[in-house]
Formats: sequence, C-alpha cells, structure tokens
Amino acid sequence: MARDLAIDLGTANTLVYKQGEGIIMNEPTVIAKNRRTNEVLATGREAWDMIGRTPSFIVAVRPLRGGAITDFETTEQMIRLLLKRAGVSRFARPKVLICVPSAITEVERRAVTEATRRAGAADAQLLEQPMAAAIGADLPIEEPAGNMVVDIGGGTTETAVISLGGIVTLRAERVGGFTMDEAIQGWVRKEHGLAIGERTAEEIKVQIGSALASNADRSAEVKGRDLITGLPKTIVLTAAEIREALDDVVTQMIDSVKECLAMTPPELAQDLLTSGIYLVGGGALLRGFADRLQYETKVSVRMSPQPLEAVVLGAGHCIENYQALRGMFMDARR
Amino acid sequence: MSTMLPMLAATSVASLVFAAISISAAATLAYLVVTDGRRTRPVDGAAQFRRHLDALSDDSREHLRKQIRVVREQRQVKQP
Repeated sequence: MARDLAIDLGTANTLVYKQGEGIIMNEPTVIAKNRRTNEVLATGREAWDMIGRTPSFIVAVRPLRGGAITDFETTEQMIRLLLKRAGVSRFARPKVLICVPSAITEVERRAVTEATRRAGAADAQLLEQPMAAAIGADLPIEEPAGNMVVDIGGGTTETAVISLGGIVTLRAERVGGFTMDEAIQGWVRKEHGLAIGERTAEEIKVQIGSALASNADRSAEVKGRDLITGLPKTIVLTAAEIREALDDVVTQMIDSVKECLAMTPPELAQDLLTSGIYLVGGGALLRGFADRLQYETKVSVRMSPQPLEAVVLGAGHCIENYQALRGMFMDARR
Repeated sequence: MSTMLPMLAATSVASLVFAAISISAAATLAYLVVTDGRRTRPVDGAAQFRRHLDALSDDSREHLRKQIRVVREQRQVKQP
C-alpha cells in the first residue's frame, strides 16, 4: 500500500515527508525548463544552480512568488516530478497533504489540488502553513489557550493565533525572505551603482544581514557589474548598510504581527503574554529579528529549533493521524 | 472416446471461467477492504473534535518529537 505524503510547497524550498519515514526531500522550489520544447531539464538543487546562468532558451524559474502560484503549468510539472521521486505510480497512489500559504486564493487552491490529483494522488488536501508549523513546533495547541505562530517564509509572513486545535486569528502579508533579497539588490544598485543577482543578494543577507545592531557586525566583499562601465567590480558592504536596506521589509513584517495581535480576542491575548510568540520559517533566521520583534511587541519571542522543517513535520503528524486531523484541512472547514 | 473429448474440453473451459471469476471476485473484495480504511468520512461533530484534540495531544505527538530530535541531531552533525 502507498505511504501517504506531506509536502511543504514553499516559495523558497519544498520539503516532502513520507508516512513512517520522515523527511525524504528538502530542495529549493525551482524548475529549469527548455523554453523551445517545454521539457523539464532539472528541479530542486540542480535547477537552483542554473539560476542566472542559463542560455536564453533555458529558463530556471520559481513557480511560486509571494506565496502565490505565478505559473500553474510549471507548478503542476513540479508536483508531478516530486510525487514521482517520492515513489508515486499508477499502482501506488498515496493521499497527499500540501501545506500552502494561508493567503492562497480559491483559484490557486483548486489548481494545486487538481494538479496533485492528476499527478497520481488518491486524495489531495491542503493545510495552512502556520497551522502545520504550530503542530511541527510541538506547541500545546489542543489546549484552550492562545498560541501565536509567526512563519516567515520566502514570499509571505504569516501570523496565526491558535487555540483548541483551530486558527482563531490570521494575518498574512506578502513579504518574506525574497523581499529582503530584492531590497538588498535595490540598495546596492541605488547606492553603489552595482548590479547583483538574486543569489548574491541572498548570500549577503545570510552573511551580514541583521534586523538589530550588534557587536558582531561584519562587512562583506560583493562582486557585481558596474552599471556605468558595464565591467565587473568589487565593493565592500557593511552590516549597517544592509540593515538600512532591510529596514522597510522588517518593519512591514513586524507591523503584520502587531496587526494580528490587535485582532486577537482579549482572553487569548492575555495568554500570549505568558506563552509568547513562536517564530518559524527561514526568514526568522535573520540575525536580531527575534530580539527586534520582542522589543517592538513587548511579547517574549521563542525561536523554533528547526525553523525550516517545522511546517513539514507538522503536516507529517497530520498524515500519521489522517482520520483524526482531517477536520483541520482547508476543504473540511469550508 | 470421441464423445468424452468435447465433454472434457467443456469441463476445463468451465473450470477456467469459474477460476477467473473467483480470482476477480477475491481481488475486488481485497481492493474494497483496503480502500475502505482509507476512504475519507464525513466529520461527525463532537466525537470528531475529541479525536482531533487527542491526535494533537502530547502523547500522540511523541513520534513528532522524535522527528524533531532527529532533525536537530542531523543539523548538529552537518555543522560541527
């Protein structure tokens, strides 16, 4: 019998959990295609290495942007390949649970479900990422008390307050790790007249990006193309510069959390003072973000020990207890 | 002898048909048994909600904790 699958279809990374086995795949959500023949050349890490380095007829694209599906056909191809690599065939048709951003539209929801069924799944269900993250982070969400989860993904920042196994308030903003990369690209272009690619911008963010000043601030050498001469050029960027470049994005993320706190019923808001805010998602790894969030919201902030895997682990728990937890899936609540 | 041959042939054809029918019936029954356990059923109110909360309880999430430990250990090995 086919083992059921849980997929965290993130803007940045896609993770797959197989029933009884755990996480079997963790790769960037990128697909490389031949534009002339529409043939898929590579997915995941292999396709990620091709970004910005392909000839004109090969495109390495991210089918999801800002938590939204920008290319349905490519998303379907990607899901099909993922399921194939996870062992789905005509005779082994598992149930598949896909974690999606809560800001997903009805059209996108149908597209993902249909694509998954067409790719060979016996049943396809969707679950909001913050809910899965709360389960994956091992929060006591079955209790009648408020638990706040902030999931900062590649394309979205989602904040949810969960009590008695259900989402009470939810706030999603289309800003995330990629918005930070774009902000860095824009800053370097504007202040230094240097064009850099998205991979370089991400490397800068990981190396010296921060949300708060600290004694560990460093600088980094960056190579790019001079916009005036068109020649390759190297500059040195400081952590303070990158902090300034990221400030608008970080402020937007924190404002979104504040708005969710404002929408929370008073009884649960009171609980949050004790239980605090739980941070998950790759964007939460930005240095000083947790401290700045704590400073601005006046609520204690805890970071998940595995922020990148929390969502898929939670979804994995849902497929291990499919019948009991299927009331949590998006379709069941409509 | 000449009258026995058609009788034998008819008997063997009939037994083959019966064997095919019984195999397909057994396969259909096995398929129904397997798929029945996997079929999604309608949500039935309070009982379903209790099961839902039980499935989210600490005891039920023991294997999830194990997974978290495994992921953490794997990361520690990767980043010594």
